[in-house]
Amino acid sequence: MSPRNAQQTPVTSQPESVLDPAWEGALRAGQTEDGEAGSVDAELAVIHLLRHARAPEPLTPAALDRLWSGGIAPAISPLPWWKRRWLWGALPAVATAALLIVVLREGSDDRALVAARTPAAAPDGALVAAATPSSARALERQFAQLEGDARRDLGGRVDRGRGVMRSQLLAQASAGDKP
Amino acid sequence: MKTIFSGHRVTSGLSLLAGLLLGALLMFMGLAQAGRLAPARPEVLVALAQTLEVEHQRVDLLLAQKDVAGAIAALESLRKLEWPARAQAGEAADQLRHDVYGRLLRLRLDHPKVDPRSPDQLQQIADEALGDDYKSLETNAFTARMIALRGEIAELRGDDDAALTAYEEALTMNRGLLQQALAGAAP
Repeated sequence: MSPRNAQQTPVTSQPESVLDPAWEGALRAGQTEDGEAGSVDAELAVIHLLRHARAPEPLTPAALDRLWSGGIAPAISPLPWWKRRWLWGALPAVATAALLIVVLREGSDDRALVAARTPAAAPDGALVAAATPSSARALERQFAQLEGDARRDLGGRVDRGRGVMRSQLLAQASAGDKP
Repeated sequence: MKTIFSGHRVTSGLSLLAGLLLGALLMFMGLAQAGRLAPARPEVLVALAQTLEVEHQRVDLLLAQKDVAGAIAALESLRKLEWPARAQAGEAADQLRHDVYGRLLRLRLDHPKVDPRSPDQLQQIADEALGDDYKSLETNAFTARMIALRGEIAELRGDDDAALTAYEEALTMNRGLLQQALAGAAP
């Protein structure tokens, strides 16, 4: 019971005992006269507590249900995992990390594949060729395909040069033998 | 009447001779232009090829020992060679030069932290290798590779247009070479 209410509420017929149910009516009437300003819930709670201490007050099943579903159950029931607040922050972060892992691993697999297919381009196993543009890689692969024939062709030309040299030497030698 | 006929025969013979001479001259010029004639100094080509063969083997060995810096240094020393002119050693000498420079640039691009060179310096090496008259060379894999490497360097320099042009040029050359290879492999 607040002093303000006690002073401002002109109660014409004050209940004699705190256990008198008329207290509740008097408090409600005072609140109404104050223009519904303030609250008398705390005073009423004290009155009910005192009454309950003297003689337990039974609660109707409807009141029990209301108490349980209105305040107790929401407070003590564990939240399902999909309703937990931290999940909304963690879930996008985990999904992004997983996506990054997948993308980066695929990229490294691709580089390894390219390096394995272009031994001439990366003789020491370095993956640097993968960092170069795809056109350059394609051209380097083409060179690896063509290199064998090109070297044989060059070798043939040098051999022909050797043949010409040999014939020139022979010609010089036979000219020198002539008297 | 007999004089007229004999005069006509002489004129025909001269025309035939002139035609033969012209044909032979054109064939000679064509073969010389295509580099199919034997080099004027075959000993220069042979000496160059033998030198490079040994050097390539040395580079192979250095790379097998993971000595990339040594391999690059060996190829750089070849740049200082006095490369013979095409007129002396034939166009095979130009192809040998493109092979050496191509290998050097490939190593430099694959290992940019070893004895580093700026993209402009790499471009200078590529230009030095190709020279001004590489387009008159017979299509070959070594020149095509050098052009592709030049495209790669142009891309490093941020010159995408030059890179694209070089790649297209190299692709065209490679396409021709692949067709030749397929035609040669066909029964």
